[in-house]
Amino acid sequence: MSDDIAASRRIVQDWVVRYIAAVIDLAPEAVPLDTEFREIGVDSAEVVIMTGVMEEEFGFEIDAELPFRRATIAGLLDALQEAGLVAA
Amino acid sequence: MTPPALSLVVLAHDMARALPRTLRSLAPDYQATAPVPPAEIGGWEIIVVDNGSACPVQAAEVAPPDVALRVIRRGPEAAAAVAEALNQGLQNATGEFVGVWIDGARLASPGLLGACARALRLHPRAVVATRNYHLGPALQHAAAMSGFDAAAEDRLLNSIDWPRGAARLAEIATPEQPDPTGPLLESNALFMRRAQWQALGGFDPRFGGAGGGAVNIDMLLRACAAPGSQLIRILGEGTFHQLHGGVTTGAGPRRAAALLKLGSKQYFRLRGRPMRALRQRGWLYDAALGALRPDSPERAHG
Repeated sequence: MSDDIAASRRIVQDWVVRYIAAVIDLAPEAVPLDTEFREIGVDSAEVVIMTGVMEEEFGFEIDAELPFRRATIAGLLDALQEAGLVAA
Repeated sequence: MTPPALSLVVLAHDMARALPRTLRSLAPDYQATAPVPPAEIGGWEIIVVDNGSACPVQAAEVAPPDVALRVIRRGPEAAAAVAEALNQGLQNATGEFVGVWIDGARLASPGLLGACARALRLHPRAVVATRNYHLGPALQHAAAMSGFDAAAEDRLLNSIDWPRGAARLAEIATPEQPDPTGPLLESNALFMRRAQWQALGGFDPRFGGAGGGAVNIDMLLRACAAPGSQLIRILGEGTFHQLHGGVTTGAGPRRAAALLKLGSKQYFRLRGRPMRALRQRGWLYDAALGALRPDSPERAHG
């Protein structure tokens, strides 16, 4: 993925949902967007690991502590959008 | 001379304060907790790999009683090469079984070696993972931010009269993972047959960076993915991290998270897939029972 063109929120969201679904062995459509990661069954280390893979996939940099402050999929995407890393 | 049943490879770098306690915790008179007596373990040796310490480890100063200890010294220029250091230790191991301590600042609970020795014999390709704890009221990268220091750690150990009160270590410590049967990413003390370590090629030296990056995580994941392997988690024993200014636990939460993220990126580049914690429970060895827990899943091997 190019560094120059921000991925759309929908693409990144789908990626995150699929990633988490694979981690917790759940169907993607069953992964909630507004539930905290730990309540979904993904611990903080796994979320940090996911952000590393996101950086590799999408070419942007994420503060490693961001998922602690914005601890839902929707919150994480909001933060990335606010930072201009994903497009609406 | 008959080789010992078990070799322990302990990696150390500038751990003058912490290493002696770790080695003391590996002495036969310390590892004497029922139900597995030291005699059942079959004898063990300790190989300390001193990875470029400014003040080199002196065997005579740190050797615990009644156990053979060797020190492999590597120069300061080698300090970053964690995988190579561990592999050098593995190459020097003579036991049928080998336990590797990637962090020599983690002292053992008193039934750890007995539990691991018995668990190793339960399956021909056992991968025996032990639980990681940090001494103190919180994980040390967080506790250090609120004033937990070496003196406080010493007071804690004194409060349980360690080493005599070593069975109470868990009371003064915090586990890295709250659920010992939950997602497993790393085991500081990892045990397998020497032949398994060899078949896996030891640690992958392509993993670099502070503390070896994700090299230990990669080792556990590869070991458990190897055909025919059987993960066995040790419940009720563990290793306990002491403060030593290490790359992750001495770093603060932000830096610790950044290092984990870096390890994730490196793993993804090298392996072409995300670094995922093990979710399989494996067999659960209960140290207090001295046997597998009756509800151990997937217990198919005879």
